[in-house]
Amino acid sequence: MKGWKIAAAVILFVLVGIQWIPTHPNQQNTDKAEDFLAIYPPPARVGTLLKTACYDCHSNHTDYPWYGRVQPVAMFLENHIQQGKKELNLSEFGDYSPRRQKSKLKSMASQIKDGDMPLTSYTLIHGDADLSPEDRKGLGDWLLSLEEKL
Amino acid sequence: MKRIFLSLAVAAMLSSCGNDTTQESAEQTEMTHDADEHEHGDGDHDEMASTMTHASMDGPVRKSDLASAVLDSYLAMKDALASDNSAKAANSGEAMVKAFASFDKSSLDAKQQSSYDEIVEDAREHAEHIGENSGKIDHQREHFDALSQDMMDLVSVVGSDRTLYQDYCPMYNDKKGANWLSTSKEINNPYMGSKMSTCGSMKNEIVPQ
Repeated sequence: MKGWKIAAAVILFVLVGIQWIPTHPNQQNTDKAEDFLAIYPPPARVGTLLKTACYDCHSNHTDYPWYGRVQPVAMFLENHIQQGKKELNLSEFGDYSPRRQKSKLKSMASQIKDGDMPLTSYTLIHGDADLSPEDRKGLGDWLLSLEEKL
Repeated sequence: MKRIFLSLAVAAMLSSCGNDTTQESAEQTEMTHDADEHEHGDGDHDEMASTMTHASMDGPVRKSDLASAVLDSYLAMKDALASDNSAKAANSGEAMVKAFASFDKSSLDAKQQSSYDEIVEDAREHAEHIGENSGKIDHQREHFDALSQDMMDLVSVVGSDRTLYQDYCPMYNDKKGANWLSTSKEINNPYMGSKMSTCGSMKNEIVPQ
């Protein structure tokens, strides 16, 4: 079938071509002084959960999967991470005003407890970020207790 | 989980709220943290009252129409949430974002400007979220709770063009309670849904001077 061959060639051409679209990996040198975990050291379990379930999209350092720099996945991730950091950037948490920190802690707790975060599109790939009900409660309660202390 | 909590909250409200409504209009208590103990006889609320951490307003609020567009959008949002109208609340959220964008802070002194900036940085974000979450009224109410605190602080910095009443709902957020502002003495609770719209109490009358 000639049509099939042309279609396959076009798809291949596009897939190869988009690899020249530059990627902007989210891997800056993070300023530890403003990092959430440095300012408010959590219990070990909470720290692990934050790292595995939140930091990839809500900090200045993403641990990418191997295909994370392959287009079009890279574009998708970049967009996602940009959104995530706009809402909450844990690497720059110390720069937030006390009012904003309290707001963010409340929102984090409620999103985690309600199951709105982490996003399903993330947990499908990162099984370890799919929080159990106990983890959701533990993480949420700790965030709220911190909010009350601020 | 949330649904279970909500139905428990509803049950608790129905059993504790009946005698509130007859008293609330007569009650004009000052903003004291244990004020609720006068109104709620049962033990559950004592715990809530002692853990309350809402800021009170210090000193008189000055008369100014600087924030009138912001207050218009806030009050429209409050009415929308009280009548379970999520789409209208979202419109008010968008209106508030616009009101902040055209806010003229040039008449504020440096200290007021920095307070204003700090409050509005947070408030704008809540308004944006309320605007983006039409259809998710629970989520909108969470932001409205924080936004209400911002509004009270904003008014104490930039003033108000109208008399405001600070109202309090003891049931919201797992009995942690939440405040809101309104322009009428009548209670129209934005947190618990239209079925419980008269639940709550007035805590403070803010008369700009």
